[in-house]
Amino acid sequence: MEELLNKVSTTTGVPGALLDRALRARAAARGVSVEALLAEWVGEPVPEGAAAAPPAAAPVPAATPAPAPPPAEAPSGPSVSVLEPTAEPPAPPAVEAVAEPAAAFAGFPRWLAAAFVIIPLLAVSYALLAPNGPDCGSSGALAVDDVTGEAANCDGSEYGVEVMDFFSSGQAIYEARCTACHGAQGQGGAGPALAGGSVVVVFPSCDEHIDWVRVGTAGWTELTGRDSYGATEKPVGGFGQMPGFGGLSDTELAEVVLYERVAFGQQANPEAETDCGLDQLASG
Amino acid sequence: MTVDTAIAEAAEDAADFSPASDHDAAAYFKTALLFMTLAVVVGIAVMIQAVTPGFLGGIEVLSYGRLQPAFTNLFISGWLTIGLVGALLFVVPRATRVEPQRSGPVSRAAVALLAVGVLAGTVAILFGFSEGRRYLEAPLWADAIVLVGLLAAARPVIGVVRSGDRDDLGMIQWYAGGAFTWLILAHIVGNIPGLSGTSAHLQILFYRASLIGLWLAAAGVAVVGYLAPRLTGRAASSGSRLSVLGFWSMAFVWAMTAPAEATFGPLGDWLETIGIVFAIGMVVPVLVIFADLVTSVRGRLGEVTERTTLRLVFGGAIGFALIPVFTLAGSFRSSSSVVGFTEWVTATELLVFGTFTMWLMAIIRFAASAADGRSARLYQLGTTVGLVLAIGAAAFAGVQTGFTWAGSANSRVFANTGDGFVNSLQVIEGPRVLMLVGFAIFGLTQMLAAAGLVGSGLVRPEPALEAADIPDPDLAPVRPLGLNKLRFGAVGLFVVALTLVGLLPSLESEQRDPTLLADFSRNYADGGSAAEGRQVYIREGCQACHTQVVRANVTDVGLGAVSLAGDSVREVPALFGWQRIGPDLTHIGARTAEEFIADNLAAFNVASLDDLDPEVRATVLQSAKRDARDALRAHLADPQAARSWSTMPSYDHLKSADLDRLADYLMTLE
Repeated sequence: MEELLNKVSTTTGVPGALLDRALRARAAARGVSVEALLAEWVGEPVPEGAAAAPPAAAPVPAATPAPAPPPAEAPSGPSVSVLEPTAEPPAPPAVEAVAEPAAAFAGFPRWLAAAFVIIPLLAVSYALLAPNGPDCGSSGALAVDDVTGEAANCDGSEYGVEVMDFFSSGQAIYEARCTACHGAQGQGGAGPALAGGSVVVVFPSCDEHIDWVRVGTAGWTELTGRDSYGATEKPVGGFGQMPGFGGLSDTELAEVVLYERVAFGQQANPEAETDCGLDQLASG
Repeated sequence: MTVDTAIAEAAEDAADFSPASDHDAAAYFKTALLFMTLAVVVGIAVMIQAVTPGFLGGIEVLSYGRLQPAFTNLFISGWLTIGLVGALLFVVPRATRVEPQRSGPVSRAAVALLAVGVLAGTVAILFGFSEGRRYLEAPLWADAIVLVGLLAAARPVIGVVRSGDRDDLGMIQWYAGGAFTWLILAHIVGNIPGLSGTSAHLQILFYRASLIGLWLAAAGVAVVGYLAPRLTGRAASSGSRLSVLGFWSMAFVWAMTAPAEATFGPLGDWLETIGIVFAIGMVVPVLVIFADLVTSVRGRLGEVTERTTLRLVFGGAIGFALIPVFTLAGSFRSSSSVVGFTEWVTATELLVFGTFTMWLMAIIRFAASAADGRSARLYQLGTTVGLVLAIGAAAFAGVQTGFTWAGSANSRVFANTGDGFVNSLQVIEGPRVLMLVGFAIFGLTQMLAAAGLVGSGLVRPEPALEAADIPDPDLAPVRPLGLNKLRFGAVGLFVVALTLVGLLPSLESEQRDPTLLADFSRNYADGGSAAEGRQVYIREGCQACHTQVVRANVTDVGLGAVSLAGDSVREVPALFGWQRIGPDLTHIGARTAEEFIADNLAAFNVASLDDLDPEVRATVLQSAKRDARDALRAHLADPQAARSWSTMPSYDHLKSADLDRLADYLMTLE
């Protein structure tokens, strides 16, 4: 009886407990046994709405837990009675084909069934192709430097382009050290004006320019044995005391001199780089 | 007598099914709506602080780091969890036509315990008793109260599930039974104290995945699985192949997506791959549930009378379908290099919050028989516009900052730290304002709706069941799912997931052996100023903005040495964080000291420390560390002094001793 109740429940979508309660109440009210009433319910073809009545003699195939074939009105009453069929019922066989799903995904929309296969496949292939993540260099992954522990290029070199901007470095040094005497725009002050191109006139070559900045007034005579500097033979100590900047590294000296020559001497940057020997330091 | 008549008669018998538990469901709803109102207010305050760090500045209990976990606690535990518990209490009896036994006293106790537990936990967080673990910040005692409340809340519903036909449970019973089981298990697992290092981090990740996928999603699906057919005039579906597939795939897949959030982190590579694999698999249950929903209303949309409620169901379904998309974007290694730790995390969180809010409001509206009309249309508008604006702006901001940080490494002018970082935030000022506006619109809309719903009475008697239709012949009937299968299946799959992504990885020696950093720098066992500073860090919720994990990818170049699993084994709990609203702090002590070392080197006119005499070197290092510590302490007191665009709030209001300790702690992060 359980089985039959389940069948009815599944067929109609009404929860089993609900049907059970109604069944018992009805059986009690009419004075029949629960089993008999249930047999009645099942004995008739399952109806729905106001469609035609199927032949009363046609039993519902007991083994088919199928969704109902098109239903029909039937009279209530203790006996199975035959109604005049008002229309031919559609054939059940079409429904039976659906009722016994052979394929695992019978009844799913095709796209959904495809997704059930494709998505797990995608997931598994991801796992197989990259079980330990992407190789170095792809998807943003980097190697780990053995010494510092930092992220580094896959060949071990430091990540990132070394942008050597000598002009800006030189500018920073100039602004820190030279503006006090030579002015922020090279207009001069305690020291001579650098703007207007005088630097490249006085120092046609970068080397001498660098030397002058390095040793200044105090050291020039000792270094060169001359008491004038530059192509224009400017007297040492003539315009005040130029301090020596021996504390700056060679690179820094070259950078600040490059800045002066490019910013105030209107020399082209690449040319100045070569002149001052900085092109060897530039790396791509 | 035909079955059709039988149905009609049965429907009559059951027409006025109005279980007494409806009053209890109403109590849950009322409590949940109250918590939602609180959460929205706090959430708006939090988002204002993200734009204007000075908002509510100087008030210790209202700083961002304390309000933010308070917000998530209120929203998730107070609004979503309590609300969904009530929703299940409303839905399950209706799906089974069985009245819960003794629902009254048990449910009343449960509501009280849950409300007290969540409120107490939130207040504790505000007053500095945070545990420092994401979504689990409430102290253990508050979580214990909540757990007892959850057990009590589950009892009536589980009783209904068990009282029915044990061999043939309907779809809603599976999801409801599973949801409660998983919620309680996840709550227990998440609150196991004393874990350290990556194990602690995995615990948090596992809790979050289970919370979203096994509790919120399962309860939500139970609710909409009832609502969708009901709104279109059908009896609740007893189950279809689609639903079974959806249920088991959800149970199998979701908890194991836990490691997907930690891509490129110190968890094992294989573990991260598992997370990603299952995150891909997450699409299956989401797709299935979406299809099931669509199928259940197919051909009947013309009969929908409560359109707003149905729209909420499908709006939530769209949000639900987007969850795997957002999760995968944050998990795939290539895309996580861009969106990892950015506002994308906020976008995902808002998406989850919004999706389940829509589903919860749908069932509450249904229960209250809220009518369609002008106010309903306004509600729809406010919810949609608010969410789309907030989530969209957050996603955009996330991608923006991610590309900036990743791209900056190329020129070595780093944007993931220092001035570069603050500059990268300027770009997302606008999106942050939009996030605030969007969330405010969304939140205020919900608050107004809540006021209306509570005012009109929350649970009306169930309208009569209409004659059930013959179910869709395209859906093959399901094999019955029995109670035992549900019970063992639900628990079993949870245990499998826990073992695979929680226990096994913790046993790996790589995850447990301490590195030098763990032994000498990050060892807080002996107490001392740094250890106390670490407690200040946890208390103030610094994790809400700062991460402590350096990944081996392009985005994290310039942040220092890549984090290893062994670095944090002596930290209980590990403070990895989840978002970079501020820069990463893993090596902040060393980075700050380096600046001062560089100055010293310039003053001494040498290129590197090795050029100095050993004693001079030692002095230089010492003084650099001292200067760095002072600089950090000054920054804590006035972050805007060095960088006016900084969104970090000032911690001037802390005790001077606490600031000292915090600075000492930060210096151990070398």
